[in-house]
Amino acid sequence: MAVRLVHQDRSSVGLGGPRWILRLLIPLILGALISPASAGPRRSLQYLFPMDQLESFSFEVESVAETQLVRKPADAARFDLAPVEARLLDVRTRSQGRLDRSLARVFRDGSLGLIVRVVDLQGSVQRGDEGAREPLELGGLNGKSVALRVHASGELLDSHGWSHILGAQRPGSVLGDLFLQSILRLPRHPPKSSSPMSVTFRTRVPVDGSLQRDRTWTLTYRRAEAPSACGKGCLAMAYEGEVLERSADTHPARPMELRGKASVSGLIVLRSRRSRLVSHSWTSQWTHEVKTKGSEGRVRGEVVQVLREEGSIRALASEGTDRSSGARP
Amino acid sequence: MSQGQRSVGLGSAVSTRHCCAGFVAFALLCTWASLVAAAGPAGSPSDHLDAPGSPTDRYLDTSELLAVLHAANARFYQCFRTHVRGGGEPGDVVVTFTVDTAGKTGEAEVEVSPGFRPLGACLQGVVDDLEFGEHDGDPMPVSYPLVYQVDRKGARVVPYPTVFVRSRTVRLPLLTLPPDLGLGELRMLEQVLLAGGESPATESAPSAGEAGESPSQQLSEQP
Repeated sequence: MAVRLVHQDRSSVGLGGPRWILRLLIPLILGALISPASAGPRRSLQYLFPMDQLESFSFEVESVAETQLVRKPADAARFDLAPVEARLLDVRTRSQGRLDRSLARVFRDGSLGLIVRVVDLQGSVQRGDEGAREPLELGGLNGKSVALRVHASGELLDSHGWSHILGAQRPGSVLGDLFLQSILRLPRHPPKSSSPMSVTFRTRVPVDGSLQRDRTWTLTYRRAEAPSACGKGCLAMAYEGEVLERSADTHPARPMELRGKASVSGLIVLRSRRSRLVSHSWTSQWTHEVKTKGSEGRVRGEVVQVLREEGSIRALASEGTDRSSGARP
Repeated sequence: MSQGQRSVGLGSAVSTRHCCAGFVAFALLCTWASLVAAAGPAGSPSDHLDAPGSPTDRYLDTSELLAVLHAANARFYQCFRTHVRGGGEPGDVVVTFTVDTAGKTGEAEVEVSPGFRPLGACLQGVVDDLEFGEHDGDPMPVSYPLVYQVDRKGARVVPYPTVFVRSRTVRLPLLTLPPDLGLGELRMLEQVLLAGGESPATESAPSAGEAGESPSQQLSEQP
């Protein structure tokens, strides 16, 4: 009590002004210290993007989609659905081509606007193990691009162009998660071989004005052995983890909800700590539960899709001035 | 209460007030920061990836089409002034064309009364010369009405406030469907999964115990 008295007396005499300022400033300083922008030491791991040049990657994506209509309305009996269901039962697609990435814009906060475009596409489809593999017409997808706004970590801030690629009657499904996997969020520092590093992040894909696909990624990164072909100075990181998705389509003509869960793993190879992507290979296994709704909002149908995907992108060649995604022009 | 106690009480009150002020300031700062964060990276319209004219805007929208068409209004007007005189009216005039990925127009057609073919040819020439921005989308079909007022000197073209484009809606984007799924098959799926005719649903949940039984078999057993 005595200590408190002395303390209060001193504060009320003479030192009142500066202490008042201090009391105002301390929370502000504390707030600034705990803000995400300045949390922890400066990141030592980030992508570099070449300026004024295209980065080119070859890619391959192979996926298997097993679709089951597990719940149908009674009036579905008037349709001859069996042939359609048989065609959706086990669909294996393969696509390959080139991914061109260019740095189009630097935003005021230092984040970058990238254009990622797919070209020289080839694809094929096979139904079941023993079905004949048939070529797919992917001409409509050739040259299509997605604009991505990313931070130094590869964190996706915004994206645009999905409505021109995704959806039925568009061949974008053969690319799987190619665009998202071309920009994967990196941990703040390279993981040590002894201690894996966990990273959680979210991605949002605004398909159109009525649908945003939100995913939460929880990945654990480990140091991995760089491929011998990459030479000295390459950094390899293996990751594995879980992805959750909850999306709701609010378009009046296609009311649906999706709950998805996936296990993912992959290997990222960078040229060095602050350098370009050399390669990224990934596998994922998704289970999607899609509920469709009728006119009164009641569940009308339910579809379960199991999607297995294996993909890889490999840098072809790029020359130009390197630009860290965290730096300003 | 003694004098000393009184001054202590006052000091405490003042101190508490200052402390509260600090926390209020901190709370305001947090609120401001959260509001800024909620605004997202696209706080300013110019920060949108699809802001017209931005290098990250790779797909055309109607505002970009309108800007080019309105800029060509004087040339449309010149056609009317040259070819619409003497009280005749060319009826409803509509130009339709497509914009390819290079931004060039193609398949231009002018809907005009039969007696005004020279006007149609002139307008088609204007449309052929239009240049839009390069884009990554499918060739975009565009339809634009030319609204005019005829007077003794000719006709005055009024910039029409909108342009009509045939946009392709995204269909069943939450389902991963093969690209070779036929249009008929897709329509059937949409009809079954989404059609408005509400009726009680039947369920056939797949289970691991039903190994070897394909989903199509399960579904075919439904009442």
